[in-house]
Amino acid sequence: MSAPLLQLQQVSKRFNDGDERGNVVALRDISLTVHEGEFVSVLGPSGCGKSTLLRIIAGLTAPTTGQCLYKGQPVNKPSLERGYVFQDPRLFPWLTVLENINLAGAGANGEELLNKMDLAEFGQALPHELSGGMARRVALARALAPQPHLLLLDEPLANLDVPLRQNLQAELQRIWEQQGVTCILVTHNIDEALALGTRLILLSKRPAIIRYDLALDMSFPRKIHQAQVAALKTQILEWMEVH
Amino acid sequence: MHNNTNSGWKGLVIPLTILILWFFLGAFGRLNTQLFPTCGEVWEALCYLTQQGLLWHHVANSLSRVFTGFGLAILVGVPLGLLMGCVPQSHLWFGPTLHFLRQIPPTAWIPVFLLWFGIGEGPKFAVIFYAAVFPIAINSALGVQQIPKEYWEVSKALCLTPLKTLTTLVIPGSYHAVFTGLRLGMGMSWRAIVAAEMLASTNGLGYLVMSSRSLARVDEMFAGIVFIGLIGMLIDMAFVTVQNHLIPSWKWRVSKAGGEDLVSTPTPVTTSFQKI
Ligand SMILES: Nc1ncnc2c1ncn2[C@@H]1O[C@H](COP(=O)(O)OP(=O)(O)O)[C@@H](O)[C@H]1O
Ligand SMILES: [Mg+2]
Repeated sequence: MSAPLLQLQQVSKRFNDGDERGNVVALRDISLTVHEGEFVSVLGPSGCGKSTLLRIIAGLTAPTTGQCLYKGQPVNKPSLERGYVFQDPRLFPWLTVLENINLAGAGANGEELLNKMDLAEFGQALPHELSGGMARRVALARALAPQPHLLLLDEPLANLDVPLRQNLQAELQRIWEQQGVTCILVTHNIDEALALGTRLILLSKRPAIIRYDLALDMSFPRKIHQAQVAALKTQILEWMEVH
Repeated sequence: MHNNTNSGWKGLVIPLTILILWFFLGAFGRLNTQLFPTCGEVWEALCYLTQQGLLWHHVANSLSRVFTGFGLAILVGVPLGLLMGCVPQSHLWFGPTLHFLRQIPPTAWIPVFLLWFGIGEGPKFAVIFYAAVFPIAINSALGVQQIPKEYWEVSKALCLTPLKTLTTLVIPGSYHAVFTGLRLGMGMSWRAIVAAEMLASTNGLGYLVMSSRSLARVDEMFAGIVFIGLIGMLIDMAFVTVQNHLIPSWKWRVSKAGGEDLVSTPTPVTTSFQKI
């Protein structure tokens, strides 16, 4: 087996800067190894520390204890090799769609990404002219523009209407398959986690610890494995109740 | 901004009432014209000063001083403010110093500036600079701090260079507040220049008012005062117009984990008649 792309070694995170939130332990002893080509779905209840986990992997937050290794090197700051798709689009309101996508200076493939994301006519539009689903796609394109090896997706499908959600889900799947980018997706939605992952990690309530780590070895699209998926879902729901 | 076209007349009620009262008090000889000129006298003084070209001479001198000092204040205040805004916890570092300096009226510095810069234009520029630089710097800093931290994170995650962060996030994200600072700074400068000219000058609107006193020309005094107010108001209105029409505004869109969109707009822009 190839060397791991990402290794979390007993990562814990405690917030003690917040005055009103006080001392919050968001993550406890998370150890996790991710290999190239995986699509890891991290499932956990809201507020358990999923975003915090992704931010540590991205290098936006330092863990309190433990460490995070990317390609064997400790992560201490963000890198263009790790693309981050935030929970909300966070497009710069004064920049056009294309300028937003090209922010990191990727230049050349901005137009191409626009086409891929079905946004060809919107390159010169401003973010406020976009629908929610379009803004999400722009944010995804912005993270993909620097051609990351590892794509970190923070609830990319949350709060979207069903058709949009399915489009974007198919889009994510295509990106993963065609571009060979490794993905880590965090979500509180069990269907999303099951639809996209090759591996599922179930987190407990806060402080998040890893409860289960299972391989999802059904082929894509998952629709054709309805029965199997449904059974897994029931099982996971049961686990989630227990913890 | 609302109903500006329909209810503009409301703002004219008080000035017109005062004007009419003043006119009739004068017309019925109820004013001690040694202390308080009649409308007609002020009007004549205005006409006289205008015909002589004196008024424009004074206005031009005051304006050129204000714009020089103000320009210097922009050159220093905006970069300083943006920089302060970028420093984490900047209010803890800079707040006490700024609030101390800001409380000292610029006119209190006039004697000091006269000592330092001689009696030429130097001290006047310094007074204007001092009056304008704090509102400009403080508002610029506030503007930067109003940029939601979520956007800073984007800049970090995309590994933007400091220069790119400045041009794509800090400047566009704060220019509304910067402009509000410029507008406040301009108002402060205008008030300060008049005071500066009262103390050490041979021209300008402040000088006009002050010299009328020594000549016991109460009508010219009032003409000068009215003009100071009018020009200050016009400048402010020009700023508001530019801010409302030429400076694009936008909404920040930050949706919280719960899902509801928290849409916030930058500090509201007020007209010159509303509270600043
Ligand atoms: N910067 C912070 N300061 C203090 N507490 C924080 C901070 N960020 C997150 N938290 C807390 O950590 C916990 C986990 O947050 P988060 O990772 O955003 O959860 P999730 O993404 O799973 O909903 C929450 O209780 C949250 O309030
Ligand atoms: Mg989250």
